Amino acid sequence: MPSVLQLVFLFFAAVTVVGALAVVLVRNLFHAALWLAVTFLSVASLFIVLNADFVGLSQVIVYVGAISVLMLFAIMLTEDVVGARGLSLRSAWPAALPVAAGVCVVLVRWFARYAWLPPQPPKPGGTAGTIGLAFIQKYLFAFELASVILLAALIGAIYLAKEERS
Amino acid sequence: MHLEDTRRLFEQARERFGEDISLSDRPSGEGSIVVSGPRVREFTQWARSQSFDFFADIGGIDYLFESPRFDLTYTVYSTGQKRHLHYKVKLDESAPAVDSISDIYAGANWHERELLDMFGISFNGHPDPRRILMPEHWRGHPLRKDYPINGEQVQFSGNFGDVEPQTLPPAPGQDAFAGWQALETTPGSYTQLIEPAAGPDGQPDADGRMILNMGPQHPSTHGVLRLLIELDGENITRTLPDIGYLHTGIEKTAETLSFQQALTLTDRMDYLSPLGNNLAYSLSVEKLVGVEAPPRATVLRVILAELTRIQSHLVWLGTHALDMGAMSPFFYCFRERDQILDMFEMISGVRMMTSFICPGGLREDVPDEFMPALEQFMRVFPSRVGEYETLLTKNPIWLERTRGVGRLALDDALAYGVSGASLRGSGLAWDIRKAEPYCGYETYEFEIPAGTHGDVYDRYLCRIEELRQSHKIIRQAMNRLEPGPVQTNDRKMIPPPKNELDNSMESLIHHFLISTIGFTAPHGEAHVPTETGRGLLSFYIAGDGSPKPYRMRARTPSFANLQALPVMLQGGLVADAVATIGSIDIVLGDVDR
Amino acid sequence: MLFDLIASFIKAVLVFAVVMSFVPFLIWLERKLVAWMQQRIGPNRTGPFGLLQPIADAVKLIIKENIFPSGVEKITYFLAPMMSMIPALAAFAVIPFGSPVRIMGRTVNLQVADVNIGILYILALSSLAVYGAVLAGWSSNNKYSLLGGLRTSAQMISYELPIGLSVVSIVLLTGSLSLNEVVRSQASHGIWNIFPQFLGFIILLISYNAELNRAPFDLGEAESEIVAGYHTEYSGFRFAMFYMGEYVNMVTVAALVTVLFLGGWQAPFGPEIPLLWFLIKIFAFILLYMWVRATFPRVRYDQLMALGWKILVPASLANLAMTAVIIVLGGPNAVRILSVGSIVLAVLVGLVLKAAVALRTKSAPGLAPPAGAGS
Repeated sequence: MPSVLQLVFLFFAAVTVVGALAVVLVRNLFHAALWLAVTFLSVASLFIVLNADFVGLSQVIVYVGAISVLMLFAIMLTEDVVGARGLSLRSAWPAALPVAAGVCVVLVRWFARYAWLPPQPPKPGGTAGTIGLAFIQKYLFAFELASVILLAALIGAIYLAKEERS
Repeated sequence: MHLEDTRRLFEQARERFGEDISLSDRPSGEGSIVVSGPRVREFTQWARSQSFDFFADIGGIDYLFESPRFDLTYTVYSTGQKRHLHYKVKLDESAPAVDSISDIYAGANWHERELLDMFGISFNGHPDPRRILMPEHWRGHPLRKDYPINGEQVQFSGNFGDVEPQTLPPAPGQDAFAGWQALETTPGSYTQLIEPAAGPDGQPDADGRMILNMGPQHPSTHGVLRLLIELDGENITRTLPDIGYLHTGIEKTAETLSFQQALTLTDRMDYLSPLGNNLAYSLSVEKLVGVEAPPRATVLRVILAELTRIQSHLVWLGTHALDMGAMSPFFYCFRERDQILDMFEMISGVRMMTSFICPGGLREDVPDEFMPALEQFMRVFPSRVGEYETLLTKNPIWLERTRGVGRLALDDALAYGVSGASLRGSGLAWDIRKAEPYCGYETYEFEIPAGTHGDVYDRYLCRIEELRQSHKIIRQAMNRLEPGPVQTNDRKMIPPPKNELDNSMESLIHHFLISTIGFTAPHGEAHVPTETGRGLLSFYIAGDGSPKPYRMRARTPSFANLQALPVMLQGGLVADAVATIGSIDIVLGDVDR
Repeated sequence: MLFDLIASFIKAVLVFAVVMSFVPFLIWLERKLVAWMQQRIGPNRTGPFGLLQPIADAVKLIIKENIFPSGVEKITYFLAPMMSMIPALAAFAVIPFGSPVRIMGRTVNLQVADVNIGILYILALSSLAVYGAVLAGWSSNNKYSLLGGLRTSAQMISYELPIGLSVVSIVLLTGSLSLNEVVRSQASHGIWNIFPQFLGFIILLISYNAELNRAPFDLGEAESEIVAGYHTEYSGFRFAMFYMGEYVNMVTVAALVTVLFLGGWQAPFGPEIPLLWFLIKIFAFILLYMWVRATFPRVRYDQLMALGWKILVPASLANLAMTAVIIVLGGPNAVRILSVGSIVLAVLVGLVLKAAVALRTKSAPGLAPPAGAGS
């Protein structure tokens, strides 16, 4: 008999999988982007179920609130208003299937070998402090590297946009 | 301009044009130079070199039983010498055609199109020979005298599909809209002009250009104006205004009404400036008939015309601010405007279409309560102007939205015949009230504001200042108001007083005739330029000895000002279009007539 | 456990009821207030002082037929109004609206849920609110709706940045993401956050005005340009939900700003009466927004974006950096240093802005010298 928490977890896990499948299967590009947002949201819910509330809410802010919206924005800018039929992946089925299957096998095998920690009880002050300290102590280099890469991407984007205008 | 001036100019021109020009004494008191058709371009160039830099109008008169049949009356102004010149071209009945002058004065473009539309006169070398006010499928040219009034066929139906262009008889087997479809493929027709460069509506073409259709139902076009805007990204590359949605044939209708009745049409042209229109019309008719309004009437006319200017500017300010999202100034402006309309109601019983200024003076004297109400208004108004300015003039958002937006260079403004505050914003303090005074404006002390950049903000500042100057004029006029008659005592125009009717048979008959038929005007033409809130308004009136105007040509400021809109929008953003349209203060009734 | 559950349930219902009953009152207040500012009377037909007008409007909207215009995408069209209203309501759950009270020997927080990352929770929900505009704009099959949706979504995303960055400065001062903690820290500092974080307060004020889509930043529904923007095609109850969503959002934002900057439920002077001061502060804030709406013209879209990205984002970054440095260097005196610094900064910024406006109007075309010529 699974506990309530486990049922909730299973529910969001199912939503995540269904959402992810819908992203690649629906033909309307706008709907695909919406399904992506649903997937992100349920992943955030999974984080929260696992007591990783900071990560979960950051996921909502960044992925659901910003990245998905930007995708929708780009689609609205470029597509016809309603009824536009986006790219269909039908023609790419034969190529996509083995690749996806391969990735799936690799991931499952790797996850199976990983030593999973037992569930952690929630920390009294929340996880934000711990994560913050980890970022500027243990993982400082990775953190700074990520920001440098993002900066480079930013400058590159500006450069491309400028190029096009002139 | 006096006949002698015209004669002197004529002598100068004679040296160059020889027998190709002659002198006419029409319009009365001013005269005009009659130019032979083939040399009109040359003459226009010469006129422009003689400092006639402001293009005002080309009117047409159809003298049906004369030969040559058509008179084209060109009017150009010299802003430097403060005078204007009429010159005429007479055209034959068969295939009337004349060279276009739209490359000399850009503003001639629409006026020539209107002549093409209304008289069927073709202009050689015109860049865009299409109808302008009437629908494209219209048959005939309405202002020709042989075009019957009520001759048009109109089908009234509630079903969109039933409304079809009745004057284009559909060929057998064609559907109702075949006429429209034919138009769309006719070279030079409406859609062809702008669309070859771009794809269908809303879709960018290969160069990324896109057509945006603004209006005719759009809250910011101030009426039924349609703009076809070609965009390159966010920037406007071309604009094509489409007008005529509100065309009511006022010039044609006036020909069927008596002079007193036609007055009521002028109210309805520029419905925000009815008394200004009444005044312009009355002055022209008075000049044609040869009477003058008495002094009290003239002073009251100045007061009423300035009040009208103020209320017209208030509507402009309120709606202009509302277009830019500032709600409150609208209500403040309408508070004062209502005060003025209350006064109009007091004097005439009507708030807008007063017809109070009429040929010969005023309809009647103002009631006793008018002056206290005016005094009350005069006391509060200056501080109210301050209120509007507090909200807008130094507001950073307002500055950002209006500075450097919708620029119009002075040369363009003059060539297009842009007048009023839209011209003064571009830097030339030219106002008919100063340049060619009427109603004794030369005796009032006031100033003409002018901007420097010709942008939306400068036009705004000019109009705000004009509110103050109008206030100043009214104050002076109030001080010189003295009791006296408000109608001319010329019995040709004004019926005899009631008490005479009891003891004079002749008076009774005369009263009856003026009341039923109206007063008659002699053969001739007359023209008096005036300055309304929107700019140069003049009526060119021709009489033929009957009690009806043979021709009433209205040169309206909005028509000319709107024509310069594409120049102002060029290179700007779509969001600026709203600000720019608001700033030229057009009234579509004034554009389409 | 049971007690907590019941208390939470009662609090949730109460907060929902109170916030929802605020909405008609706020609509009435805005109409009346703006009417007074504009020399009008405002609603005065239904009920005393027209108080029942919004209720009547709501009833009318609710009993109207639900229309799906032809060509709309039904599911997204149906979801959009909910997406604009639900996040606003849900965000209210973590707002503390009074100091803890003791009931039946237990301490009860006057807050639906004391989430220890409440600030993050509110930011997350407000980032979801944009979906209402996006979905409505897309599904309506109308160009004006699409343009409105585009404008609104770009605007909301852009303005979330300065909001987030200013809020982070508060977090630095507080050392916690819990809104309860934010209020308590203001009590212990003895000074409301508006003083040490004055710049942040101004940035948040402007950014939330844009985030709420209110004039002068109501580009997404600028009636003179794009009719009613993303909700052009909506009518009846669905339109009412958009409308209510806007006002619920306004209440939420006002409550959030009150908690973050104005000391939450604390009394500035006099006795601390539960809820009273909180409500007074919320209303002061809402009245400010209404006043702004009646005063300013609308900015242009590119100017709105420029303001967000070129002024507010750098300013809030600078504010964050300054706050961090002073907290590290100033130690226990940090709040005092920041307060004095903000006042100096505010005066400086004010002077610079005033000078800039003066300069602009000076270089503005003075009217040409009196054109007496001709007379």
